[in-house]
Amino acid sequence: MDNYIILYSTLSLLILGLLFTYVLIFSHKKLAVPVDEITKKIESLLPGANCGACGYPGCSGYASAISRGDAPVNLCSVADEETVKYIAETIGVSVDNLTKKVAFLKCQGTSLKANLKFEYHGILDCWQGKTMFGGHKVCEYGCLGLGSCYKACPFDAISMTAEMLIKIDPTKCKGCGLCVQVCPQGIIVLLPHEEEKKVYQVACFSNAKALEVRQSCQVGCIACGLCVKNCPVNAIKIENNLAVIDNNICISCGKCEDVCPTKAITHIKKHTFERIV
Amino acid sequence: MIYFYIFISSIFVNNFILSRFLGLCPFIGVSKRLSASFGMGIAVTFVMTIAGAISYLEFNFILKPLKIEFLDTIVFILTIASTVQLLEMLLQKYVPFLYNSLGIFLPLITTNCAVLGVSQLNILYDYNFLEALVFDFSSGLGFTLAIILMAGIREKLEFGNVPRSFRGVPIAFIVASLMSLAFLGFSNLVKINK
Repeated sequence: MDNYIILYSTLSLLILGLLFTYVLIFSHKKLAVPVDEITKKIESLLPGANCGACGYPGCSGYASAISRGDAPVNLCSVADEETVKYIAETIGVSVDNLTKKVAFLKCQGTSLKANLKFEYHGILDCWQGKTMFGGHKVCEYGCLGLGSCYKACPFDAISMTAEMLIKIDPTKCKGCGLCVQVCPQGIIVLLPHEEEKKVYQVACFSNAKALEVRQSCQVGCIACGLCVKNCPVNAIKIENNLAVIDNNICISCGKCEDVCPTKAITHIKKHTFERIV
Repeated sequence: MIYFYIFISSIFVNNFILSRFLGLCPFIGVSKRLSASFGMGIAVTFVMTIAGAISYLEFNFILKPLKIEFLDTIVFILTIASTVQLLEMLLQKYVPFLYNSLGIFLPLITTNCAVLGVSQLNILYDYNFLEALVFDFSSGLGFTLAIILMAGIREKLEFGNVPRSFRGVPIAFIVASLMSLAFLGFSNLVKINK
């Protein structure tokens, strides 16, 4: 009997395997679900990472949602613009009304420019840092620079610096908005990403009065109103001691950046992007 | 009467999740929505019953006579994987809503250790075929009960003010451990002398 153990085990596994295979093949033919050709094509175009960043269970779920018309084609944050264009062509949507977004940090207060209340040596987490007397910077609106967004970013677009300020690389940023959700200060915003136009924005979030801002930070907005006066299209308003630029009206002339006395107004820099092109 | 004992015992006393700690992956993964977790429970019950019955027959009529019992794990896995594939096709055809909401966890039933556990315990407890069938089915029901209770609690937890570091899976584990403690109260409810 012992001599036959190998034979028996091989044979029985072979027979069982074949049996199950035939059952599955048979039922596959019987129960075949006709897959939509368009869905199939979209799924083959999608990255196949199954990351779920679009909010659907996997790429196939998102593909069927697109083909049903339930989902916009630009939800996939992994796919590049070419892919999105192909997908849009497949289902016949124009690509023009798709706006790519990019994250922007409304603070320039590095530890050299913004005054510190104390030196923080705790856990590198912004929520933790904020519980310590509202953060280690005198300005309680500014970036804490402890990297909660850095940990949340799946695309390596955010880096931490030694100057207590995070840095966003707009060429790597896919505009998924995860950093916006985790920031305790709420100072990261999503701006429309423009290919040619420069996107101007006030890189300050402080609602404090001018004197307080001046005392706490060198690059804060003091709501002097020079940008409002110099804007040719009236795209800038002063709200709560802070200049706010409406990007829908802004024509990207750049005058506000030139006249700003504290250099609080800046634009999204696309250095690496320009180098590639 | 023994069937009734097996039924009660495998749902409450020896609940697969809460006292045997098998099949925790879908228990945590698919317990966010009540409807999806109900579907998961039914799917697991289906797979457990079919795969448990087939593997029982395989063990007793193929492996045992040929004295190759050591192949039980690989044969059981083969059976379970095929059953799950079959179930996936059935769901895709007839209940596409459930197919979509279960997502990746449906093929993962293959690696659900509760299903393999049921097949092994059938052999270990030396049940006859009918007893094994009752055991398989009621184990599935026990799984369904646990995952539905969990989903109900987690749906309520969404609105609760949970401390930041406990949100999501950590609080789910705490809930699971408390539920397990509560189910400990069922111990010694029934005792099968076998």
